[in-house]
Amino acid sequence: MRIFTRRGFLILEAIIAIGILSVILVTVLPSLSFFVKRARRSQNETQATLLLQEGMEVAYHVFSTTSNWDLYAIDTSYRPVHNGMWELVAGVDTDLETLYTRKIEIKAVCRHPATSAQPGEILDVPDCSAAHGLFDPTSRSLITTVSWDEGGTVQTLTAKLLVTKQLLSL
Amino acid sequence: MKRDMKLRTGFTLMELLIGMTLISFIFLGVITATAVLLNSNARVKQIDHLEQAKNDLQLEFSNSIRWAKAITIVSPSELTITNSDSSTSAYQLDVSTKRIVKNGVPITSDTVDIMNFEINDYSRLPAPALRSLQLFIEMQHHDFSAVRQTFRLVVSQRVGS
Repeated sequence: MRIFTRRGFLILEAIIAIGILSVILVTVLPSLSFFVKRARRSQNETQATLLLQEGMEVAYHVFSTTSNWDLYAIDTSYRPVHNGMWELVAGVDTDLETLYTRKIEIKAVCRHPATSAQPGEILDVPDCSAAHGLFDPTSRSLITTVSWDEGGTVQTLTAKLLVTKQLLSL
Repeated sequence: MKRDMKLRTGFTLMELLIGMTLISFIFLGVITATAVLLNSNARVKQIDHLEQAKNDLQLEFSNSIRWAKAITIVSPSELTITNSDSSTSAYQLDVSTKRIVKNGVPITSDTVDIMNFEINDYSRLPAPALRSLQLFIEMQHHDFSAVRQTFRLVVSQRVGS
């Protein structure tokens, strides 16, 4: 009656089978969700790029078609609106496409004075007068920022555009 | 006794039934998983086609409008641009093939159907001052209409073009 000894699987065989199965599951499942996450992230990024470009292009258009730049205060956030034509109004866009926040900041441009070694060169410092620089009334730095929540972490895209009245001949 | 021994070398009907049930469960699981995998892969590819078309159009219109010498909006879905080298580019939607054409040549792939192409002029000053255009584009996959995208693209003409 030795026939009965080989019936069924050995415990070792069963363990190996379960082991192989779990290794396959462990490798396949996370990579699947990784791909889905990556696809969603790249889609969000494309959308954010379009919103960033929109903010930048509107800011450029407004500054290139207006001679009175004092209408737009320095160190203030603006958002683009259109009522037949583009305009910047103070404030921040929230919940764009239900996800994105966008602001356009107007910054003064600090330059080396005419008497310095590099006259007119941009001086990128936090405090302009302390670095003996001068604010250029005919230049502005337009900074557009788009941020959104990506599964708990905040993603940000920023674009900076320098406009000068000399180039625009306003 | 000898007959009994011979019988026990095969499987009983019960064992076979249980085996077949187990195998069918495993098959069902594997087939479902494969179907989900293939389906999501196909969906990702279709979305990629639209993303590609979107990127191509963004690049094309951003470059041509930014550096245009002159821009004429012929109709709400037809745009003619005089480029910096004085050549002209006429963009419009070919409604029969559902592709955007530039001087008669399609610039979007045949896997993507452009359902709507609309040009809005939000410039602050009358022409020929600098233009700022908003393009509204609605697209869907040629074979899977559930895969669709709508986007707005704003481009402003630059100085010195």
